[in-house]
Amino acid sequence: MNLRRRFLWALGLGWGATPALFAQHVLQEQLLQPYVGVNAVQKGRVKLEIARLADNGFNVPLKVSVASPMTAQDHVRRLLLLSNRNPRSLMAGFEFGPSSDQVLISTRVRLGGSQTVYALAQTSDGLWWLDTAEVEVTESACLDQT
Amino acid sequence: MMHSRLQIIPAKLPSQMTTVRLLIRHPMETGFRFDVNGSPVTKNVIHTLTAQFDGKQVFQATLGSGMSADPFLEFQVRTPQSGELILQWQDDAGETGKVKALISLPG
Repeated sequence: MNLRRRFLWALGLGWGATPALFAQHVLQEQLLQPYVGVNAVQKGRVKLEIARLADNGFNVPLKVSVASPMTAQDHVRRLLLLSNRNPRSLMAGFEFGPSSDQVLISTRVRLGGSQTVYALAQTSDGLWWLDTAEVEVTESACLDQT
Repeated sequence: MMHSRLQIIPAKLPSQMTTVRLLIRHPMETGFRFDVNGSPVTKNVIHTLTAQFDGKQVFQATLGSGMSADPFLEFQVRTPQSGELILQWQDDAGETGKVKALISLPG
């Protein structure tokens, strides 16, 4: 093996190892654990609307709604927007009082690459509800180290 | 004082919700970027935003670096009677912003 080939081989190794240094997709259990703990997470009630393809990761519009009667006994306590690839997974968290009626949030987030976006809601009975959406990001919002 | 734009779609009945749309001019600096000299740019994001209606807190948002620059937020608040809606926010640099809107229900 000559020097050039060895260099190329090392470069190839380096290329293969590089993604490990970058922020990788976090597993769902790891992502949700800090918020839900040991509690079970159910699908349903939350609805996350987000375009399948995002041209620009710097500015991805999304809409979240949670179906709830919103009475003092049964209402949505909080809603979290999580990313499984961003360097900081919690993008935004919202807290509601029992006085609010319907939970309908529309905002714009940054996404560091193609990933799954999680909308996690907790109702007043302590149950956690989840909806996810896959997003392909053409241009990542993370252009530097992450 | 940060520049912001507020749009309110008031409820037409006491049972309906008032829609609040807020757009704030803010870089939402993530802390992961570097300037032309290679030194890191300090993180500066709007971390908390609250909405008060008639002195009572009705909504709170905790924002992070995952929010886009010039953050836009649309949400709903219940306004059973006419009153004043106050939106307040604060960023990591300690700068605060505040906007008020008078909501008057017909009847």
